[in-house]
Amino acid sequence: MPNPKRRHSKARRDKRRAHDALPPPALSDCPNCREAKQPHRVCPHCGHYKGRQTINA
Amino acid sequence: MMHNRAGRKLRRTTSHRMAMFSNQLDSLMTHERIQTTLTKAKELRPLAEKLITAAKNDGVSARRKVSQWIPDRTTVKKVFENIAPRFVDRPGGYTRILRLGARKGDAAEAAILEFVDYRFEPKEKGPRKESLSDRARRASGGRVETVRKDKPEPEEGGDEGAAERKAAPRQPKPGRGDKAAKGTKTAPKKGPSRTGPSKRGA
Repeated sequence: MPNPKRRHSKARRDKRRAHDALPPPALSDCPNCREAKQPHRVCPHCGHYKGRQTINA
Repeated sequence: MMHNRAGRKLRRTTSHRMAMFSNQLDSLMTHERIQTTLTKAKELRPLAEKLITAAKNDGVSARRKVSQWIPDRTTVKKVFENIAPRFVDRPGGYTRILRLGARKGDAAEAAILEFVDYRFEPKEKGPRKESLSDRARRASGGRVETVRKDKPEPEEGGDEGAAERKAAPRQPKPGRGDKAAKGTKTAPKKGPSRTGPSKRGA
């Protein structure tokens, strides 16, 4: 079985991971409290969604 | 495309999955709204809607069909006498799914499955309920040390866990520390042995 001859350096490892970053989540303004929230989700700050309160914030 | 994704196994055996859906349907029918994960909500919705559609035509056959999924007889009764009549004019679409975003702990997308006529009433914030640790402090005359002040209140139902953690704060920590210490000790040992041959060569 072929085995690695050399240990990969930290730089090599980190360069490989340079493209692994996750994109930041898309955010929109809550129409009720103006806080940033994820689109199509209940606002975690005020609990509103589609113009009515749906959960206790 | 997101077509043909229904029928998820949810990493459960068939009986486990069916039992879970059965429990969730019971909860949904009794509480009118349940919080779960988005995937489970998506699987549960067609089951719930089919039960309600079946319950629109009351009869022995329909009652038995609904009873197959809902273990509790009083809940079955409620489905026929309370829930189904509310939706007689609605051709399906009795429930809605609200997305709540990733939940803490496992980052699963949380969701609420509720009936479309569910009326949410915001809870008035009353005086804070005495927690188990508060009670312990009061009972012992204020000599219970607080383990973590800045830690936010755990999720619902987590109070018992918090009390347990507070009751035995020291014990698990040395164990974990030992393991960590061992880990750091063994790691350097491995290092020299690996680089050993190359040193000899040089």
